[in-house]
Amino acid sequence: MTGPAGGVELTGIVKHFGGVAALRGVDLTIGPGEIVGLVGENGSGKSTLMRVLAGAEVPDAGAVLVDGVPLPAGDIHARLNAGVGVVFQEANVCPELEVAENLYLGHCASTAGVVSWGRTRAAASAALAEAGVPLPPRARVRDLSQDDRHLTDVVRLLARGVRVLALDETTASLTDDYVQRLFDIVRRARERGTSVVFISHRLNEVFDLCDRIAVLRDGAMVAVRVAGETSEEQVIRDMVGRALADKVLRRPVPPGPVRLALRGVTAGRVTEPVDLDLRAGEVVGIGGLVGSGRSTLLEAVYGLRHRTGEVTVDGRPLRPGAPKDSVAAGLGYVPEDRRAHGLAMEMSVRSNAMFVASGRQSWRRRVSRRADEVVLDQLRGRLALKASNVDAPVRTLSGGNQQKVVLGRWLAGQAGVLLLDEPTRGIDVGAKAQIYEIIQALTEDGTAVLLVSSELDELLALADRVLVLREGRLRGWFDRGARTEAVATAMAGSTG
Amino acid sequence: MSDQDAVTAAAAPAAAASASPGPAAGTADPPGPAGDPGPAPAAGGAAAGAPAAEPVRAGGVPAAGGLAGAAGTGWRARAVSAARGAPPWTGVAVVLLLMVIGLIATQPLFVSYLNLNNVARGLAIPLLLAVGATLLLTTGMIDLSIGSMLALCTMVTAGCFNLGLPAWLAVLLTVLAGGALGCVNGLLIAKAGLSFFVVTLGTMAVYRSAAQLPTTGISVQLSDKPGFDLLAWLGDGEVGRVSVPVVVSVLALLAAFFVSRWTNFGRQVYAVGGNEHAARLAGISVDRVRIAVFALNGLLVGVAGVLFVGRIQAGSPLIGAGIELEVIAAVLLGGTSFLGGQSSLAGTTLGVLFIAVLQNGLNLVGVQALWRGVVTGAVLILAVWVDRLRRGGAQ
Repeated sequence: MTGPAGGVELTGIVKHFGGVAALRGVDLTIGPGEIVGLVGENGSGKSTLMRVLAGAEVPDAGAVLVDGVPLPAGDIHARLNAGVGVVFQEANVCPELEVAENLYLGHCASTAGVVSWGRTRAAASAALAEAGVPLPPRARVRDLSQDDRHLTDVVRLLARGVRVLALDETTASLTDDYVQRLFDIVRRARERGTSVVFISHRLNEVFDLCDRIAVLRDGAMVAVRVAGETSEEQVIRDMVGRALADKVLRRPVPPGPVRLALRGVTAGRVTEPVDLDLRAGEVVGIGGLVGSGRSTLLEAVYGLRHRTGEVTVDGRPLRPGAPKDSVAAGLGYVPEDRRAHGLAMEMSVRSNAMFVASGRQSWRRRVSRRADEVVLDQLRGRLALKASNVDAPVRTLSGGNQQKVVLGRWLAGQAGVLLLDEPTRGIDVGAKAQIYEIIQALTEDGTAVLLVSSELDELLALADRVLVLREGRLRGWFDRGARTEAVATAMAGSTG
Repeated sequence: MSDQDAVTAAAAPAAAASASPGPAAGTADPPGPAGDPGPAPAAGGAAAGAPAAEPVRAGGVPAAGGLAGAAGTGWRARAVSAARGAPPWTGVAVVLLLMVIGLIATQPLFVSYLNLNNVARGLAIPLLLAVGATLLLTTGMIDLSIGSMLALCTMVTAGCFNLGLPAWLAVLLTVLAGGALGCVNGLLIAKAGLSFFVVTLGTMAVYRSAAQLPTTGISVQLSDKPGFDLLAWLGDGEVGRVSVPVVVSVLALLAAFFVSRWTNFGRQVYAVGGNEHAARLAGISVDRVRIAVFALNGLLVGVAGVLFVGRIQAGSPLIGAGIELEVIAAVLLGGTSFLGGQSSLAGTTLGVLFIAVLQNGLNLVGVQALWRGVVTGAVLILAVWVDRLRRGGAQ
């Protein structure tokens, strides 16, 4: 059945999680012997698409075809038989087992039901040699470096003779040397006619390796470009540019006194010291691609990671690594991943909204429903929070209303400085507009906002000033109304 | 009832080992274990045992130090680095050896055939249960209901036999009943997606009640009919000079060893425990593996039930309470990881031996049997702690 057509085809893939659309009818075709780069910001749907390809996720609609034959949705066995293999962000290996066994996990060569370790190891040796990965087949995976574990995972698929190979952020944790080795492996696979999907946040890798580049944004395929005929800037514009018909511009507020000050702050991948003054009524945006250090910076300011340098709120210095102090100083933080870090999904809207306010009170103080009601009423009014029953679990709300609960928690806690990481991630257009209005109203009341967003237009519409980071280093400041192209260029770097 | 004690009495640990022979005899002091509280025995043990045991593997694995940067300093770091190369059961082996030497030196009764045979008979059933528990723990699961299941199985044997079924059929039905009870646990966990803790805690109560219902909690004496001798032989007979339950449990141990090392089913057990997601992606039917392991565990409990009936010549709805704790302690002590994906049946055997010898030693030294819980619980916690240190600290 290996006709000249070959390759893999994803057609009309739709997937919803709760009320949120992760994929909205995505088409993608990869021919035999072709490498397609799949890029997009966090939450654009890349990984969901890969899980659908792998059969680990059943799509609401759409099909995966190999050589024109559709594969049953969510059937991992069918993928194995058709030669479809996905390497995920985490190396999928069993650390306590040896390399050879990991290559044939649970399906080792056997005679009359008795596993032949000799044959298994010989086959593993051959597969490792063919892939150019000099690992001893008897080494225990536990004793390997992370890089070698990832290569083991890749060889596992090659050893099974995959004809469709997908690499989901496999290079994210690899050292440069290993990235090159992986590229060699992938290029050899291409020569054998394998169709390859390559996902990476590092655009230079994508341009280096891929024949075509497909861009996902908000669960939709916005562009497929030939690598040799486009530029990093163009791809970044595809990734972050949003042609909002109703382009909202926040009405600026005259800035008040400095509320949050950063002096020489470095943390994790943010290696160049950051200085920043954030005034009452001001919104400062932080732009950059995933991995640029934008979220790291917010986490460091809030006290979730180690940092150097000085952070002051209303002139009072904050101890590093102490979120409790940050809350007491009036700092509020809305994390990027609402479900994992923002909300207790099974708890009521009321409890979630009162997290901060009640956390600031003594353990002995009795909970007063009436006092809660007053606060909740204010939130309903200020946030246009639609929750028919505040005692229902917060998971029953739509994404937009959930985000309002997270925001509302800080209003109830009277935070004067808000750190917002992707506040409009995964919520619909209407709720986005409401969040923008809330930010407007907050700044008019003198709240200062530090905002991270992967949507460039959102950043430029809301922020008074935008700081651009690339690979942990400052790439410049931009004022309101700066051209999208100029900022995209700063995010991409000088090369290109 | 003294028999019952002998079986449930298969437990007691290191803390008390170095605590009690010390004052009693003053010989068990010299090497590592004395001063430091916790993992010191394992540290000394691993360090001492490493050179001897290492050649087995030293050739195969180059020390590619991906994980080598383990945290910690001083004895902790040394314990971790020493333990990394040695088999996981080195620590328990060395402490067991020291304990045996101490007992031989101070307790003349210890080496008598009578005493050793008694120890061996006492550890047969825990060993049988520990084999099943090892397979389960390899998949990252624990069955808390084995004590209740054991009691229910003894009632099945005694009931079937007294109702007139031939002895061999009563035995067969008991083993199958054990398999079925295990299967129920496995199905609830794999198919209904419940946690093993919840399910087996629940069935622990259910099976215990079910064992007590037919006779309102009273044990059932085997009636004296043809076939009685077969049951009695199974529970208390001898082959040569070795007790039958010991032979049975060693056979089960060897069978489990073969299956887990040389069959793809056995290797899938490791894969499921080591990385469930990877196993699924590799086309392994994770649910089927889980159910099968719970069923196997149940079968072994069934066999243990038969041996038990033969031994006390009755079915008892009350036996086996708390035995799951002792079994799990022995398995963890033997170096099987709490996290799954890795196990050692050799270590399990040593763990069971360790607890049995410790128990016996405490009896010989004259420590009250009431101390057993303190000692078993401490061993359990210690074993998990050492396991964690071995893996390079908190993860």
